Amino acid sequence: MATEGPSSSSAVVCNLAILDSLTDDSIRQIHDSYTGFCATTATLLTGAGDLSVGPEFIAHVHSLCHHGLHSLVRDHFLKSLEEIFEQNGASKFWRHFDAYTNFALLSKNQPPSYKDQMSEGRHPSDAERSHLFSRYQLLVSSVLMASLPRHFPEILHWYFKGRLEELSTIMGGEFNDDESQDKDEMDLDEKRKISYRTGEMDIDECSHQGRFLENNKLVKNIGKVVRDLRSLGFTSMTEDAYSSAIFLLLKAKVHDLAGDDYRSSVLESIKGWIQAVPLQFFRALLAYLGDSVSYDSPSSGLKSPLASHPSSCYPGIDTPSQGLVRWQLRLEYFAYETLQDLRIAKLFEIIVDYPDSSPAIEDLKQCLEYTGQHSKLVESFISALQYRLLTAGASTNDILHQYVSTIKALRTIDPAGVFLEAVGEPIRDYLRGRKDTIKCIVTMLTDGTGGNPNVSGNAGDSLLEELNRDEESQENTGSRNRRKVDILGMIVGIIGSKDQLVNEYRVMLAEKLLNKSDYDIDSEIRTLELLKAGVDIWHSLCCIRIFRLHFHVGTVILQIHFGENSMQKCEIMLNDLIDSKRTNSNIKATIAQTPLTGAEPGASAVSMDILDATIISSNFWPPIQDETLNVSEPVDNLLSDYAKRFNEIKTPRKLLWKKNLGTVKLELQFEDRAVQFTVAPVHAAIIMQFQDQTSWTSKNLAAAIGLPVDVLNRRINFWISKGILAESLGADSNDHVFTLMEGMVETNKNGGNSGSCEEILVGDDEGERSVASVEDQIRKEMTIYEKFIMGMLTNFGSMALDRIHNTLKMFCIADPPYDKSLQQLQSFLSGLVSEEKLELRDGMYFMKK
Amino acid sequence: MGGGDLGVSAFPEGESIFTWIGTIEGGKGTMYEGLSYKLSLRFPMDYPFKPPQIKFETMCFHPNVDQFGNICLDILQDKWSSAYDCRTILLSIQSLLGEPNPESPLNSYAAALWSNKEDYQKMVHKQYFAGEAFES
Repeated sequence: MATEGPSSSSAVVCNLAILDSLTDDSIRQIHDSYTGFCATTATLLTGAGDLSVGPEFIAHVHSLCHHGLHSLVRDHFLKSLEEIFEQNGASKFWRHFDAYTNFALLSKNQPPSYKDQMSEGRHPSDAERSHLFSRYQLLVSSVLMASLPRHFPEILHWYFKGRLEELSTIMGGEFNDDESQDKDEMDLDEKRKISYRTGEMDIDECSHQGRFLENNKLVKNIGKVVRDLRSLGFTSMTEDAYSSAIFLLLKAKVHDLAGDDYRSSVLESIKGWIQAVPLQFFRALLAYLGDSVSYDSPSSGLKSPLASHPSSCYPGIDTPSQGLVRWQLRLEYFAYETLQDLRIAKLFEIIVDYPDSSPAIEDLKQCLEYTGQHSKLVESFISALQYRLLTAGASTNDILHQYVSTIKALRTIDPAGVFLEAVGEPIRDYLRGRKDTIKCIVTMLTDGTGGNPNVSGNAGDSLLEELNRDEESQENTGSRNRRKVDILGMIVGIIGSKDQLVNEYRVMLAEKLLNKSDYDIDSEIRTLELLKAGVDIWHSLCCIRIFRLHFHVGTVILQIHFGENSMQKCEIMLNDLIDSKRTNSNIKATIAQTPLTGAEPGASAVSMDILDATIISSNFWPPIQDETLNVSEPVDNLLSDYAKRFNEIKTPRKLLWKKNLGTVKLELQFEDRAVQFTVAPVHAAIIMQFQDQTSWTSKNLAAAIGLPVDVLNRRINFWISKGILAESLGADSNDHVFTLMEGMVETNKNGGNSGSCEEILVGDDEGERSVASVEDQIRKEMTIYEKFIMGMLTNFGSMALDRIHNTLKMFCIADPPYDKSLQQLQSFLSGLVSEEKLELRDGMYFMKK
Repeated sequence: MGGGDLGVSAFPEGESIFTWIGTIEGGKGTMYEGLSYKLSLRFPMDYPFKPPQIKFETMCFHPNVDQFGNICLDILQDKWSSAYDCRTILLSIQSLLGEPNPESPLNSYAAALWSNKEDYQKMVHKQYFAGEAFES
């Protein structure tokens, strides 16, 4: 009997075993005491704090104990306590939360009130006290858990959130007293309003004052709540609640700090905030809880809030400082991740204003180093690109500029270029599908004014110059000069072959050189030098990996024939121009010595001085559009005279005039005014015909000039639009009559300054080019494959584009090898389709029957 | 590879350079005019010292072509010379269409019908279009 049974049933059995030894009297006594005990227990427990029956209860307990019925007493008491508690206490306890969203006071008060009763009921033996109490705790928490209302975690969450925000405000005031504080306060006020509406009362009132009190007190309050919750067995739930509240707060803070401003780094201030608010909170909390470790039973084992799982394995090891460090790491990781996600989502915009947004890029870089989630960046950025950039609406120039910015920006984040490769691929693929890509690239590389002003820093500088400067500055600082290499390399990589780039550049150069009389050769030579270097580098990147090494070491100069060779033609073109100047002055010098016979003085006499020949070595120039043109006789004489003199100086070379190229400056004198024009030779030839005859039919005029009628009709529009000529229908409906508007009405444009000189530079806005475009050249080159393609299709019936491409690649390996891109082939084939030689159905090409 | 305007052409089929597909258009003025026949050409490893194996893939009604498309042509057998190339072989087959050799018929019905131009042409077309329908 002296030993206590583990359960009430066994105790009863024990009782029965020794019942015989009891006298009737004692049995009656026990019976009375037990009935009394039961009654008083019921009264005591249901009486809600009414302790008037206490002495009676104690007396009964004493008498029962006297008979050795400790365990029976205890078990019965606990059992009825549990029942009562289950019936009333729990529901009452939870009901408080229904009534008041805030529970803190209750949770604080509830356990002590029961504890009081417990201490009343608790029996003499001090040794059993702790055992009893833990049983009691277990009982209470299991009952509470069992009847846990669903919204309780939420309430906890809101509670901690409110507290932390308060804390944040207080800390924020110390941490930085700028506008962010106001914002926080406003937020808090709003929240408070809401909580008022939900019926929050006393505690919140309290906390309202709490803002003006020491934050210490606040933390202490929270600590108390946490501790009480723990003793109720809600440890993990509490942790969940305050950690989620902290993370939410942190997230809001990051979002608030980061915002949409990419021009400043926010990482430091976020870190500062973490130090100032959440960690402060934890420090205080842990310190507070640390004080009450002795209070906590070891079995709970959860001293560090962080270590809900591991600490159960290593109880006692963690000290508050360790827990704090862990919290710090956790919070920082979370902050990094949040900021990273935020920045990644906006990466497109960040890159759009790249040079300005480099702090944000720097932030992102640090975040990624910490979290290692580069793949997230790649995926998100690629989808952003596809959605926002690689659409039909975006101009090729914009895409290219974004591409360059992307390269620059991602280079910071990822110096190895791995992710850049992944991100760049869709852009490159897309650009390859566009026809004007090469042209845009060349323009962007070489032409300063054509560039996008909001991307490159100083307008007027070509990208190539910028890249070069970039490299030079890097060389000066002694850092690796891979940047320039890679950017240019990746740009050229879009085209796929540097030959195409060089070709396009050549065409563009030729166009420029031929159409501008006073072209700045120096600047073009500079560009050429840059490009040459660039192509070398690019080539070396592709072909000779070892080159990069050499480049690094600085012992550059490998035998770079590639670039030299491909740029050679461009160099010759420029040299032609320089030589032309010299030749011009030489030939003019010969006139002074030996005036030739043809130059008779008179109205039509034209002196050699007005002629500036551009002598080109046509083999090295892109194919030049040929167009026959009959110039007026005096000019023709002049030209042949010039050619003759050239032949004398430069035997055995002969000069072949391309009369349709170049520019002519001319002045038209009317009765009342003189107008100056700078026009193409065709235009000059046309207008000169009107010198002697003021009216021409289109057929006659075309014959006189030597142009097809339709070309003439197109070209003559220039003069009509200038108001110099007028067009009217002739007798034949196909034969228009053009008349010179002598002393004519002023054109609306220059009405104000009549008689003044007007300089109009005529661009090739009519779509006439002096040099065959690269596309035309390619089309010409493709025609030799036409037979192959036809042969293929006759034998295979139908073929898809890439099969044709592959077959050509496989079989056309010699002279000239097939080196065209899929896109070029496609455009050639669609040309054949439009010529009705082929048919395209469902992606398959057929012979047209 | 393309035979130009001669009406014959051939092209490697797929990845292998040893298997070609050829096309022959019926010669003008013959009973095969307006029809185009597909052939398969298989070049042995020791080509050009051995002749290629050539078969009609399109059904061809002809005295020297059997129902499986095998061709009886001397230069593809004992008279082979390494001087022949793809173009000349196809041209030979093209001319064989117009001028069959009734001495060694593989298709005796066609050889017998050869004298009756009208019926012969009917059979040519019948087989040709039947084969085409079969193919598609």
